[in-house]
Formats: sequence, C-alpha cells, structure tokens
Amino acid sequence: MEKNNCDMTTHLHLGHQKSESDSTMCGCEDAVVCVRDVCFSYGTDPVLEKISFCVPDQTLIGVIGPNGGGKSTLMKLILGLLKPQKGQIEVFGTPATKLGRLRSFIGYVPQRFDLDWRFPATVWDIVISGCFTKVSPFQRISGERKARARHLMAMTGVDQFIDRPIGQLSGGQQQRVFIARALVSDPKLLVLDEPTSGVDTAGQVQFFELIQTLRNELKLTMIMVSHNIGQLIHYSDYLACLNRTLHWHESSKGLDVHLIEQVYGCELREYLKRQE
Amino acid sequence: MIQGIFEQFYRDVTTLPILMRGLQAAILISIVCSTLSVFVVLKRLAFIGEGIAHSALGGIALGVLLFVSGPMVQQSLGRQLGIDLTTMIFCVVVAWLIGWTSRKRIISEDTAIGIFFVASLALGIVLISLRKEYTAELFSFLFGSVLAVGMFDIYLTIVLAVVVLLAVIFFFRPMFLFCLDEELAGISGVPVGPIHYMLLTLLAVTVVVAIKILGVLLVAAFLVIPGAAARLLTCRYKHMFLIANLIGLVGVLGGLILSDVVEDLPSGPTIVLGEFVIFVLAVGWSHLRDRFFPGRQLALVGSGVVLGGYIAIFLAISAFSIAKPATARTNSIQTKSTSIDQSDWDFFIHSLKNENYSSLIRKIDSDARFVELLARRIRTLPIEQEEKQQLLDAIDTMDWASVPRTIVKKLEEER
Repeated sequence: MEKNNCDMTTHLHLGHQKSESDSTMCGCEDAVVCVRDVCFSYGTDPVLEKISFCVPDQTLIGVIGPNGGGKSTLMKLILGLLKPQKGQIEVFGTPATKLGRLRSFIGYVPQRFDLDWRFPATVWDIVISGCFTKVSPFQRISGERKARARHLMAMTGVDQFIDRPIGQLSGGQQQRVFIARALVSDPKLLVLDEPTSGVDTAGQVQFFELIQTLRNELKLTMIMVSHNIGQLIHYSDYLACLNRTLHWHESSKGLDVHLIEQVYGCELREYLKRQE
Repeated sequence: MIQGIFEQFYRDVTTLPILMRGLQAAILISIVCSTLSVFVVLKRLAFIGEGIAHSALGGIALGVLLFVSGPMVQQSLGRQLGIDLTTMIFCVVVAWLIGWTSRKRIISEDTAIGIFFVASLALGIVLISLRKEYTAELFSFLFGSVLAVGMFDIYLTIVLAVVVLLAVIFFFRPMFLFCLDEELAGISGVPVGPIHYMLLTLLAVTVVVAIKILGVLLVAAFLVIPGAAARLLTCRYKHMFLIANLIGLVGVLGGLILSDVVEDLPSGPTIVLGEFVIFVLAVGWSHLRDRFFPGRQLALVGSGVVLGGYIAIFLAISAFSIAKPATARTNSIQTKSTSIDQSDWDFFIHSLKNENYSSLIRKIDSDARFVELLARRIRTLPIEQEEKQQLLDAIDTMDWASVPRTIVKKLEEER
C-alpha cells in the first residue's frame, strides 16, 4: 500500500506523508479517484472542509458518517454532479466535471428510490439500459452486451425475474437489479449510495457477499456509502469517516471505536454491542 | 344502421373541406399528443401541460394585440402566423421559466406552475380588455373547434408531428433513463437539463397547436389520458407509445364521428369524454387482470378489450341518436341555441347581398363558432346540393365574390 502515497491533510491514518511536490495531483500512481483539498458548501453552511484522499485501484472504500455529514455531497462531487468551490477532484486522471465519455466507466447504484410500481419497464429493460449511453441512438445492442447482461443477472441472482415489471420486485431485489445495471457498461469504478438501507440483516450479509464476489471477479474499484459499519469494516480496505472533515482509517487495523465516536459525536459502544 | 353512421360521416367529410381539414388536424394532433403523453405521465408533467395551456391565453392576447389591432400585419395569413408565433414564444418562455425555477430549486414545481399560469392568464385578460371588440376571438380559444382549422394549421401540425416524432425516436433511450430517475440518468451521461427543456419546449409548442381544436380548457386531456390509460395496459416502455397512440386515434375518430352524426355535440369535449371512457375501461380492466391473472400483463388482450368496449359504447350511442326520427333531429337543431343566431344569419345574407365581404371575412376570422354554425345551417338549406357546395367552398376559400347572385337571391327568399 505504500505506493498509494496520498496527500491527506486531515485523515488520521498516519504512515503516509504529505507530498506537495509530486507531479501528479496527489501522488498516487494508480489512483482511480483523487480528491485534494476540497471544500464545499450549500450557501454559507460548509458541508465539506479540506477533504483530501485518494482511492487506489481495486480497493473498496467504505464511507461512513452521520446524516448531514456530507456523504452524499462527496459522492455527487466524485460523480461530477457538483463542482467543488475549492480544491480539485480527479477521476481516472481527469477533472470529475469534465469526464465526458469517461463517465461511462463509472457505475452508479442509487440509494433506493421510490420507484413507481407501475413504471413501464421489466427487469431486463432496466439492466440493459445500463449500456444505453454507450450505443448510438439507432444502433442495436450487440449480442455480446446482451450476453454480458444475462451473465451479470445470473451473478446478482435476478435472472429469474427477467420479464417481471421492476416495480413488482422487493427493495432488495430491485437493488440487485440496479447493481447488474451499473455493471453492464463494464465500469472500472462502482459507486454505491447506501445500497443496504431498508434491507434486513440477512439480506445485508448476502449483499456484502455479493459485493465481495463481484469485486474479486470483475476487478472493480468501489466506493460504498453505508451505515452498516460492522459489515463495512469487514469487507472494505479503507474507511472514510466523514463529518464535514474526513478521518481516514485502514480497515485491517480493526474498528477504532474512539474514531467512530469522534465522527458520529456520540457513544457507540452500546450500539455496537447491541449489533453484535 | 351502423353502416349509416359511417356513410354519413364519410359524406360529410368528403363534401365539407372544413371538416376534412379538422379530421386531418385532429389525427395529427392526436399522434403528437399521445406520444408526448407517455412522458407527461411518467415524468408527472400533467400539471405543467395544464399550466402551459392556460398561459397560452396570455400569448394569444398578446398576439391579437400585436397583429390584429396593432400596426404590424393586416393580411389574414400573416396575422395568423403572427398570433401563432407570439403564442408559441410566450408559452415556451413560460414553460422554461417553470422548468428553470424548479430545477434551481427556487420554488417547487407545482408552486411555479401555479404562479406563472395565473400570471399569464391575468395578463391575457388585462391585454384583451384593452380591445373589447376581440373578446370573441379570445373566447373561441377557450373551447376550440375542429372547424376552426385552416390549411396553415395543417402544415404547422405536420411540421410539429415530424419534429416531435424525430425527437422521440432519436432520444428514445436517454428519455427512458430520464423518466426512470433523473439523477441516475445524469450520472449515466444523459444531458438531463437539455432533455428537460426540450420536453418542455415540445409540450409548449404542441399545446399551442392543439388549442385550436380542443381549446385551452381541454387540451391537457390529450396530453394525459392516452398515456395514463396505456400505462395501465402495459409494462413495457415502447409498447406504451403504440398503445397510447392507438387510444388517441380511436378516441379522436370516435369523438369526431359522434359530434358529426349527433349534430349538436361540440367536437372537442366529445373527443375528451370518449378518451375518458377509454381510461375508465382501462382502470376496470387492470383491476380485473390483477385479480384474475396476477403478475401477467396481457397487453394485447387488454388493449383489445378496452378499445372494443369503447367502440361498443360508441356504436350504441350513435345508433341511438340516428334512430331518432329525422324531423325530431332537425327540429332540435333549429330550436337549440347551438344553431346560428338569426341575427348572424341575417348579417351573412346581408353581407353577401351588399358584397360587403370584408366585414364577413373579419367575422369569420374572429369567430370560429360562427363558421361552424354557418356551415351547419348551409347544409340544412332547401337548395340544390351543388349550390350548397359552392357556399361551403366559399367559406373554405373566403372567395365570396365567386358565389353566384342566383344563390344569394335564393337565400334571401328563404329567409
């Protein structure tokens, strides 16, 4: 991990050194996402302050933090939907807001939204829509892509629902359909925004197993926002603890309860005990 | 008997160019509106359609002031083009303002619509009150009429239909993502903002063109009902377009035939009521389907059942109306207020007699209802078919000088 020598001014994870003089933006040679000194505010309220980190290739970054801590804002910044007021964000070495065609290398799984249960689309329509922006308006979708879509549906376990209207699936099933959809365009980076919210404990365990399988098989870099700290610490390489400022934590060092408490600003011991 | 209904409609359409144009325009408008209705329903834009339609009244008033009473254009076609363009620009601006305020989260979308449409409506009323003599023209836009459609409107509608269909075909896939979830679409690389504004522009222009037939108050029905009914019948995006168009087409044809055969029915409201019946049937069918065939869509069967049900109802009503004795029908036409006023009829004959064509043309131009009633009255006159045709052609071409004096004399005698 030493080669991922990032400039992280605020993270607590020691062992990396500041490298202002580096020619690349943050000094990471194979970083997929580089965030440097980013500040963002809606109006006068600062949401993010001096955020710096980078996501090395083929790692899973768990993003945790209290509601209103800036998690979704950070995701939007990485996805190029918002522009930072200060600092820079690079994805695949290009500024996030100027990704253009590179955008199709980002897969995105939205937070569960209230999908109209009569929305006129089958599971297949949703999954195949993942490559819509990769084909021109009158081009037919190739057999190769369709085969990939079928393979991904089998991997995510939604192949038996192929002809069912998307609105008639349960929340957890819909979530897996949207993961298959995000993977159809063969992305290098997968961003998941609170994918397990509203899913029961058994479902969450299954979900993280699926993420692990996908990660190993497809060699993906992942950023996942979740409230499930217990599972995240187990499956992720790094934890980004976000509450306006960023605390970076290496997952292999185990769960640092003090850090989590500092981020969430409350006693967590009791909560974690109950979770266990 | 059923054959009689279609024969009468066919006869009327072929002998009355004004009705033929109305039919053509209604079918074209139906294709455009039904196609857009899919997006209106999926993106919940129904209230925007309503808002744009109402604010069109402001645009029309502005156009009338500029191009009729104002100094700009006096000729008939230029005047119409002027009014139409002014209304379109006005509506597009209002639609964009609504879109912009809600996209920027300045205020919520429904609040924006509520504010802008009332403001433009108020502007329309204030502007038109400055020129009281044109109130009639403005009010003809409230309910519209199939018979108010000119050749110019047909060309305009053809252009609109081509533009809308091309846009939908070209953006078919991005629009799917846009309807599914805007954020997801944006991240997938769909230019969400431009697509939103494009949709609003198409809606605004369509509303302006469709107002001629359906009027400000009813136009939103065309933009909502076909899509809403189609969604109940299918769960496939592309099938929704086909089914919505089929519903629109059947609704328009049924409504037009009914309003023609049952002589005192106004065309716009009849079509809208017909589409409403189709929607109710679709609701009923979807309930039965979910109960007896849970998990299945049966789109083809459903469409057949719903449209078949509508056609059965339509045939029953028209058969009932045609079964009434002919004398009863003629009497009812003459006694109902939907027949032409005696004073208007006198004015018509008087204008012909004195060759005062300019005032007649102005009246026809400004009052769509007058044209409709005039055409009806002419068709019931006790004169030769050929002579009726000459009069109806004159309504069409406005070439009143071509009407032979013998016919004018006959009309006078008839009075």
